[in-house]
Order: sequence, then C-alpha cells, then structure tokens
Amino acid sequence: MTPRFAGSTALVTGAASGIGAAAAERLAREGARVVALDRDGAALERRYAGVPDIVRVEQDLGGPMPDEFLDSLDSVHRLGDLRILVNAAGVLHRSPAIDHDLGTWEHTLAVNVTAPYRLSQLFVRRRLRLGGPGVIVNVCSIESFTAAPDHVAYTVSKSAMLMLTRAFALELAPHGIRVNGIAPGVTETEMNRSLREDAAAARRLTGRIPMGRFGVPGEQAAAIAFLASPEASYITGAVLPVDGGWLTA
Amino acid sequence: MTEQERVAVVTGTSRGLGEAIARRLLGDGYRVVGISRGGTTGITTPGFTDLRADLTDTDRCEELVDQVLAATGRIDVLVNNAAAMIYAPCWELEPALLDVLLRTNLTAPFLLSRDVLRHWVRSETTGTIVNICSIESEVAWDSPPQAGYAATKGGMAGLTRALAYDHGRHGIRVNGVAPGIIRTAMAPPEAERDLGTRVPLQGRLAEPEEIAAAVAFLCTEDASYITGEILYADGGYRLP
Ligand SMILES: NC(=O)c1ccc[n+]([C@@H]2O[C@H](COP(=O)([O-])OP(=O)(O)OC[C@H]3O[C@@H](n4cnc5c(N)ncnc54)[C@H](O)[C@@H]3O)[C@@H](O)[C@H]2O)c1
Repeated sequence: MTPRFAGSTALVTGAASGIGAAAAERLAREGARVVALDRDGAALERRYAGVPDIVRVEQDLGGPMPDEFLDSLDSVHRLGDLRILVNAAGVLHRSPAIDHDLGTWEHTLAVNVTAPYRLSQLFVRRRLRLGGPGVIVNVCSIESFTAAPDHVAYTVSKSAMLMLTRAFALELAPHGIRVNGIAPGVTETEMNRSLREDAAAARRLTGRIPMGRFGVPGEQAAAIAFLASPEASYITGAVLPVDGGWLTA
Repeated sequence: MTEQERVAVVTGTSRGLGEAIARRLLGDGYRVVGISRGGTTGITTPGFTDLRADLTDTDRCEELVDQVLAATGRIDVLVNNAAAMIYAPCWELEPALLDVLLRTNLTAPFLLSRDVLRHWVRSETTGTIVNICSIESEVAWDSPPQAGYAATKGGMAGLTRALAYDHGRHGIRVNGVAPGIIRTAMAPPEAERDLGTRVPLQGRLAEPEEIAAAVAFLCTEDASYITGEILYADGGYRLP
C-alpha cells in the first residue's frame, strides 16, 4: 500500500518540540516530505539531523512575514507539491490577567494568531496558483472552548484560532481546500513540564480528566494526520478535541 | 489477539450509512454483526453476521448484547447507527410517532451501550462506542420539518458525552460522528438536488464512505485520547 502522504510536502511549524515534532515525524513516516519550521534551530538540528525526509527551517514566527516568505523557502528547500500546512507553533505565558503586560499579550497574539493567519494566507495563494487540493490543520486547544486560570492571552489566542479555522474553512471550501483543527487537552510536552512535575498539580489535573491521564504528542499527531489525509475528505471547519474527555464536563 | 478476531456490532446495516460502515469495518479486519429490522442482504462478505431485530422493541434490545456475546465471545466496537426519521411540522407530530423516534434513536442506543459497557467493565476488557449523531445535534433543519428527529439527535450528543465521562476511567472511549447530508435513502430527493448548494465544501453531499472513514478512525488506536467528542463530517455545513 502506498503511504497516504506519498508525493506531498507538508510544512509544520513548531516542529522542534512536542506536538509539532510528533506531527512532522508522523507525516514523514507516512510518506510526506516535511519542512520542519521552528525558532529553535538547535533543537531542530538535534531532532532531525540526518533524517532523510525532513528539512529544517529556523524561523521565528513572532515577527512580520513578507509576502515572498514561501517563495524564498521554495528556492532553498523545494516546496514541491506543498499540500499540507500544520500550524503547531505556539506560546503560553502564565500569569494572572492583571499582571499580563502588553508585550506578553502582543507576542502571544503574534505567534498564536497572526503567524498561522499569514502562513495560511500564503499557503492558500500558492495552492490557488498551482492548483490541486490543500489542507490546513491548526493546533487549537481545549482553551478554544473553555478558560484556564492565569492564561488570558493564551485562551484568547486559541479561541481566535478556532474562528480563524472556521472562517478560512468557509471561504476555501469552494476551492476544495479543507481547513480543520485539533483541540488538544493536557499533553505531555515542554509547554507544561513544570506543571506536570508538580505532583499535587498533576494529580489535580489528571483528576479532572475522564480518562485519568495526560495525552502524549503522538496521539495529537495521529489526529492531525487523519484530518490531513483523504480519509477526512468531507470534514472541513471542524476542530476535533483530543482531550481524554476534558470537554465533556 | 489479532485484528481479525475483533468484533464490531453495527445497527441499521440494511442500507445507506450503516451498510457503508459495516463494509468499512469488514475491510479493516473486523468481524461485523449487523443489526437491522428487515435483514441485511447486501453484504455477503465472510465475517458478516446478519442479526434481525426491531429496535423499537425494548425487550428485544435488552437481549441483543447477550445474544451477540453468546455467538462471538467478544465485542470491541459498537456503532449506534440505526435511526428513524419522521417528517412532520412540530405541531402535528403525534406522541406515538415521537415515541418511535425516541425509542429507535435514543432508547435503543442507550440499552445497547449500557449492556456493552456492563460487559466491558465486568470482564475488565475495553472497547469503543461510536454514536451517529447529526448536524441536527447542534442546528435545526426545516425542509422538511423534523423537530422530533432533531430532539433525538441532540439527545444523542448528550448520551455520548455522559457515557464518555462515566467510563473514561475504564479506558472505554465513546464518541460521535455527525454527518452532513449524505447521499442515502434518508435524504429526501429534493435534498439531493437543492441542498448541495448549502454545503460549502464544493457544494456536494457526502458519500457514505466518507462518513464511514470518520467512524473507522475513531475506532482505531490513532484516536486513543479522543473521547466524548462529536466529529462533524459535514462539508462545513454549520460554518455560515
Ligand atoms: N501541550 C499541551 O498540553 C497543549 C494543549 C493544547 C494546545 N497545545 C498547543 O500545541 C501546540 C504545540 O505546543 P507543544 O505542547 O508541543 O509545546 P512545545 O513548547 O513543546 O512546542 C512548541 C514549539 O513551538 C515553537 N515556537 C514557539 N514560538 C515560536 C516562534 N515565535 N516561532 C517559531 N516557533 C516557535 C517552540 O520553539 C517549540 O518548538 C501549541 O500551539 C500549543 O498551544 C498544547
């Protein structure tokens, strides 16, 4: 059986760590050529040096992105049939809302909302120019639907990403470009390592999860791969929670 | 234990989506027990068992899981797909007809799920349930009017969440798939013609196989952290 992503290229952001890394590896394992983008070049190097189907792009998504961004990537890395975009890069700043400073707020919105918005836009322009199907998967969060303490900028950004997903899905559906998201629950990555290592906090959190455990990045990647695959051909505008049941109650 | 031995129970397999789900799970290596009122004559694949039952008959529903277990020894997947549809303005829907909708679309899934869950918990095994919901689990539909059906599909979403919440600890996952308008006998003919225009994704209705693929995904290990969710495979129907 041909691997389901054979012949296509996938651009994955936040690919140096956690969910983005698991997604990059999963898509590559299923035949995609993967362009792994992250601001942390050293971590990309550690993870992917010598891996045949994954090329590395060190890029900070916190700043403005020129219209030519994908063209310049193309000239170095041959984007080829770039069909899949996974927006996984994200930042989480923890502090009470009254202590959030403007810089934190703006940086969170820049990385978690503006960057996926710009990349999706450029991805779609390229897709429409070259023709053929395309699919975007945005890594949203259970906080696209609920709040969490001390996360105001993050919660706002992830809720924005939910509607970004739906708005792009609606506009792009006539062109056969599908746009979906996943909403991870608490997943074992760097983003929440300190929280998970605090035994009392970890117990409190798992006690809140019907399945009684955290998710692992591979489980998020599996859902991303499903939504990116032709198996999901009638699914667009959906944000699939992968949360051990968190959102049921 | 190989995939080959796994058993999936699917209701409403005589046609349409249920038939597509049964075929898909057979293709994925399950033995499939298809429950339908009139029998499933369309599927002749080895590994398929045709079981007849009228799901409006609650007493019969209460025997079904035991009957399947006696024959197969195990159940790994339950797909509650069978549903009744009645078109009527809400002010004309007779209580007796509403009762048919409630029994077929909610009571039967509840009883089958309850008995399968009981079996999994008592035997310390696990499995997964997929409930076929609808876009009407969330939004209304008026052409033709079908408030009774909408009520049952809203209830199906609640059933999915409640069963998932209660059994997550046992490693049992319960999810829903909410199809958009499918090209099956259930969509009225005028739907086939006109309703495509209401679907953002290329203005087309869903093929049953596209919905079956979503069900199949939720049954795999790839969905191991997904529970209590309703996956909308609706071509973007609810977006505008
Ligand atoms: N871990 C969870 O519990 C959880 C839950 C819900 C949602 N998410 C989301 O999942 C996504 C991935 O997070 P993760 O948990 O894998 O965390 P992570 O910290 O392990 O990975 C995030 C990656 O994004 C990169 N990144 C951050 N800012 C960047 C920037 N400005 N430019 C380029 N790359 C940047 C980081 O370098 C890192 O490699 C995020 O969008 C996060 O919001 C995570």
